[in-house]
Amino acid sequence: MTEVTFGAGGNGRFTGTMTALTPASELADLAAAATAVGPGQSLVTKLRRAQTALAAGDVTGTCAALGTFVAEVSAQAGKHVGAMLADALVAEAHEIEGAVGCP
Amino acid sequence: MAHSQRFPAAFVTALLLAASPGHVRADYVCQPLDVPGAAWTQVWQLNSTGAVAAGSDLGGRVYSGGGWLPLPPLPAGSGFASSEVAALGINDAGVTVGVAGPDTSQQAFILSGSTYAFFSYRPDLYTGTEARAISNSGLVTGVAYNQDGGTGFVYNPSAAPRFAAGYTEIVPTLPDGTVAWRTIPNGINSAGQFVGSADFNPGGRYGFLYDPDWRAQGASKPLTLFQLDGAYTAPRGIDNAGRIVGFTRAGGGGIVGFLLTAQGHQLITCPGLDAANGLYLESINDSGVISGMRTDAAGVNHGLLIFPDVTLPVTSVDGAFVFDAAVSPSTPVFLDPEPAVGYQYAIGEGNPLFTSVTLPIGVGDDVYTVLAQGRAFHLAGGQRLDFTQSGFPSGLASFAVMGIEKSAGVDANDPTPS
Repeated sequence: MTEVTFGAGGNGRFTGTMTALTPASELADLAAAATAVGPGQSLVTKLRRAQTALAAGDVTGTCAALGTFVAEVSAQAGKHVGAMLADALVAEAHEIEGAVGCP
Repeated sequence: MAHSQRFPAAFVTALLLAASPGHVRADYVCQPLDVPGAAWTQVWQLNSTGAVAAGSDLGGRVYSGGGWLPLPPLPAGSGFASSEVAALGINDAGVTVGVAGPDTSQQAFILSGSTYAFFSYRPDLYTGTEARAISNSGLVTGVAYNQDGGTGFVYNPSAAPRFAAGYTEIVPTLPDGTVAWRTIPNGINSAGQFVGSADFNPGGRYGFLYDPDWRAQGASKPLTLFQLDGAYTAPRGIDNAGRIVGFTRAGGGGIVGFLLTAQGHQLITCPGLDAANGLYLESINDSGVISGMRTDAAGVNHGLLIFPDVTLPVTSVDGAFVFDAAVSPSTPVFLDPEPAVGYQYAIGEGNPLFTSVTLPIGVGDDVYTVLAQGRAFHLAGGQRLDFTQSGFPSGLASFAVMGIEKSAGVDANDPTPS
């Protein structure tokens, strides 16, 4: 089960949603999380490349871009990217690789 | 979430008076939880940070931080095999208690970090000692036994409030003067209240609630004996709100679980799971999640968690599950289905904001990524991510959970409780 708590205020109800993520939406979320992480825009640029490839149905290109993203995050872990954040970003990238069907 | 509600004697009385006729209604969902690779698993105490104490044929284990960890190596010269060690209790600080040694001559231990402190109660009288549970203040409940039965005690090694330093023996006695031949104190909450069972001959098995502040509460004695519907009753867990869980024959058949609150008692079964030889509830944490075990038709033990008041979606629109439930601040809401391949969670119009999320134990590798407003958080199953303490003081209208392995085999479209 997913356990959530709510704050005070509002109408005292939860009428929200759980929406299954697709690889595209996961990539978008990952790109949002990678924005402003690490030096420059290098990381988010790699994810944009992956998004473009995925939108075009290019699995090989998607996987290649994700692979370079993982490599750069791993290289920056503990340096320009906090170790825990790096773990989270890499773990999620690997999940997307699995969902896309990367070898 | 911290519950600080006391459990006064008047409430105890009301609770016990209500125990027989009242039956609260709530939907519970049972989730198997076994030590990976183990032939059998006994799940004991679940704390309020999502850690679980367990025993198995592979030895003692603690679930914490997304994985099942073996207990640290025993001290050299202890003479115990690692397969003879079980973790029975764990408090919110992760201090663990349990037993080591062969069944007839066990020693109790308190494990803090990687340091074991072994102890035995009255070894001149008893052949073995079990440490059953530990409170957040370090009070340990336990039982010392020999071939004639067992004596319950509270062990207070650090002179915590409410009990004398050292040992306090617990001696349940029926109104006719019959003294219990076996007493098993178990779950203990932050107020020092604990529950357990007492066996009488004649009389059978009773449950009890012990309140160290009984005088202040206006009670006539610290220990209250009770049975649900006049049947075999064995309470095992109590949370800081005074909710009690355990097992009983009150259903008229085999051993089933129960939940006892001020509203009455509810029998708990797990219909989708084989509990032919009993369902044993061992603890309840401050979120209301229950831990325990079942014994199947072949006599094999399996661990489980039981989630309360699970909220199911009312409909599905364009692939999104839609909920409609009343909520109140800081009261946990358990959502089914489990996050299968990653989900975006969003409140509806006018709803209060999300203030925390806790993700399930026992799904894939139990490690998740939570994404919120461009920030990523690594989160283990059972650990709470408090948004209000993580950069979102008012809470969040939406967040995403990822990191659910496809190999976990969870069906995103099947919210059916097990």
